Amino acid sequence: MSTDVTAAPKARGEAPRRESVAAWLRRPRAPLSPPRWLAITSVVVGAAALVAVPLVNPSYINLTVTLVMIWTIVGLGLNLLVGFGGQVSLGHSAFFAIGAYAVAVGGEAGWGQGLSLLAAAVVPFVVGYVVGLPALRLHGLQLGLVTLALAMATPAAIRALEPLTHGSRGISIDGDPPSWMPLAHDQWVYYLALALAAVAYVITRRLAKGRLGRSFVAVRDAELVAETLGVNVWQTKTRLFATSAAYAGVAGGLYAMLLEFVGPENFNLALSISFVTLIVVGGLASVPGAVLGALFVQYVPTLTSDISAAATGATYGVVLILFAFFLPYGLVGLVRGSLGRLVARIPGRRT
Amino acid sequence: MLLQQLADGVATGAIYGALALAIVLVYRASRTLNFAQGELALLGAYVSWQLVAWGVPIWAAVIVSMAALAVLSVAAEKVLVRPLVKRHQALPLIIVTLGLMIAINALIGWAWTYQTKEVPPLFGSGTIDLLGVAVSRQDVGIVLTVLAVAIGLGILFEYTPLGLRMRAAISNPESAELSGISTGRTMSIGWAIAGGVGALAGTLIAPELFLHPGMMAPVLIYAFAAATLGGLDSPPGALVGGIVVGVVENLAGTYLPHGSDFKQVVALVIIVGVLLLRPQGIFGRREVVRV
Amino acid sequence: MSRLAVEISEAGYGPVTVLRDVELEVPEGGRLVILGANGAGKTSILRTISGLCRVSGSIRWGDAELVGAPPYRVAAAGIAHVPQGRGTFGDLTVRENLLVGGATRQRRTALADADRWLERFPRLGERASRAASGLSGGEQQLLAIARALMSAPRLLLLDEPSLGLAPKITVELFATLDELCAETGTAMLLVEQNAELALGIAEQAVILESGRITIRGPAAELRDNDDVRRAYLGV
Repeated sequence: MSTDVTAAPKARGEAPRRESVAAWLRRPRAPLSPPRWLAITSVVVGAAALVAVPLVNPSYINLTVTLVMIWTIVGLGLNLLVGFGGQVSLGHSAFFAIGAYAVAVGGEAGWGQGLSLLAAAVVPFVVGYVVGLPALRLHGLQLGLVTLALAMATPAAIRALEPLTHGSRGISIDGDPPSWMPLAHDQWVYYLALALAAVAYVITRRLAKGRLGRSFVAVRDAELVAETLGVNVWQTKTRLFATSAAYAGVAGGLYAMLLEFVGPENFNLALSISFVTLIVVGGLASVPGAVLGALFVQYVPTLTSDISAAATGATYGVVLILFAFFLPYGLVGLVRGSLGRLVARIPGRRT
Repeated sequence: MLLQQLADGVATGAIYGALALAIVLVYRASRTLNFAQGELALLGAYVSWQLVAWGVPIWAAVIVSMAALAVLSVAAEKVLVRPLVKRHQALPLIIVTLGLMIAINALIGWAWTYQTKEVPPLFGSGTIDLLGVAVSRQDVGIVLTVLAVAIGLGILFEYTPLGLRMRAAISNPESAELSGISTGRTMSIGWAIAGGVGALAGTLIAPELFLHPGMMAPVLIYAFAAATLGGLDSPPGALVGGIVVGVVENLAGTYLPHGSDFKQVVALVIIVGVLLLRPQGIFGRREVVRV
Repeated sequence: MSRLAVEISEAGYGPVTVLRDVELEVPEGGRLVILGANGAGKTSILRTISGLCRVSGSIRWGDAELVGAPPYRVAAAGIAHVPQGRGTFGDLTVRENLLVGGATRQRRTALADADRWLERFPRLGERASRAASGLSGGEQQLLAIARALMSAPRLLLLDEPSLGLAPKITVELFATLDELCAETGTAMLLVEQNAELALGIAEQAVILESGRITIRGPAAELRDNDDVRRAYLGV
């Protein structure tokens, strides 16, 4: 058992060693800081392109882009909870389902689309609040377990609530635009999703950067310390959970309008897993990460399903493991790492 | 009728208990939940099926499958779990075991297709008359096998030097290590036993549920409910919890309206209820929150 | 030929460095006490020897190099460590605690030795099949020491055995400790707040301040040193 000294002290004044690839990937990164002109130009060009998409594309393309925006909304909310709040949820498919059924049931009751979508936000918020009150006494693993059980029970719960949900038969929904609007169904839902995703994005950025966001992070990193600093931990967590549920609900409502049908099997465990994959791939605790993650969960399965039925699951599983180990900051971290210096070199005034 | 339901409940409950036992062994070893536990058990069932298809007798197939899954579990623990346990991070652990769960499921689907397979019952078909109730031989065999495994593990933990080392490593890892016990090794042994017991549970239940890639996900949730109910660090608790969950599930399925749907909600209700009212479960020790 | 020679150039936890340039030696059967204020790094020296700290330097144990060895290998090499405070396995019985201490030895020897300890300390013997968590502080400390000696070590590392004990019990404990080590010829490296008692049973002593050794010498000499008396003996 004669072992050599392995951890030799680094001599002082030695040139910094080249960072290993793994360490480079694991390093936290500051957001890109483009000059003002570039930031404004990209937002304007991007917005114009997004507005133009449904006017020049066939409906099946609009459908997939709309889905990306729906996943983005879920991802923004879930990331608020998991990334900024440090609370796990493997059960957001449940809130997504509640939102979808709020629109479906609202449509049957003749509420009109505006009121139905509002219900798709409010009902999951309230349910999230009620669920959150006790659930947030639980920590990490326990919350993971409870929400996993929630995700798995969701289809059965929908079937069991037959008087409201019509069980396995599902509910058809009228997602057409108001008659005075010169838009097709796919264009109408696209613009609705675009508007709501934009609003969600802006709100999330505000939340993440504002006082509330800081109290979330404080609660995540040091609950006891936050408490002594006057943050109401319990209330912060519950609000966070409810807010995050409301995001998923709105997305679920849009999803129902897009598909014009909801049934229990739309909301299974696989959906919840794709939500988790979304935020892990995009980047935990990063707002733009939700967009990259949404692109991933929308387009990667369409590529992999050509290979085999198992390829999507295999890809998600392997990607989750790889990202947890090697890319804790997700694709956003990768983009920041590779483009950060380049963007920083572009001349112009920065804010 | 009621007795029949109870007997069925006890048999499926024994399976839940066996998988819950695997969950508890992993929890005791690493203080984490392995969300891939169900899929590892499923893989065990498929390995058994494959060996039987190649002409190996079913009992030999089970033993080989248990050994294979023990090795695989140890590998998963060393490569994927231990580095994260050392960093005390709950979220990456959840993500990684969830990833493992999906990946193994996909691997099974790719290797053995999504068609249902038939696994021969280990104890033959037919029924035995027990106190006027006709109980299937398979049910009796399952209960006795799980009981035998439980007693074997009880003896291992309570009366052997290896068991003593494992309990010491769980009770006070640092002092155990300072007494010459490799806690890394006891951790691996915990995962190995869990992998083997899981493979057994998967093979035992496969004839009842028909073997297909989606078979184990609901069983896993019942097993989690059982482990939570019994206490996550209590092996006897896992078995008792399993039987309670099995019986409740069976009765709910039979006597409640929309029973087959409501019974899937039973697991959620049990998990939430126990965690809120008595987080340490029936037999578990109250955990001190470390700040 | 077991002799401990420690030459730590740096040791600590993660990014935090606690010890710098610490050199000390414990001869075969010798007794060294480390004195110092809270936070001076006394405990870290013991933890470093046992392989629980990040370290650079050399820790020779006979012909073996301990740097880089995991704690259980250090223990198997004949160094028993009684950590500060909770050195016992609370939910194991008293007898099981002793058997864990003998984990590195033959089962039969361990069983016989455990019985010997239970006979020798009737207070432990009476509670042999009770959970260790039910013992009093003094009994737990005694159990932790007996457990450490179960491995028949050549060196015993003791981290503040008097912590939390009543003065009378502490005196008893040190007398027992003295006796046990003398019987078996076990060397001792002791970290202690109670300088008076510690200097009484040690041969050599060092004083640690902010991670460095400032004074070293025979225990008897340090006992008479005015600075030491003022700082550590409270006179």
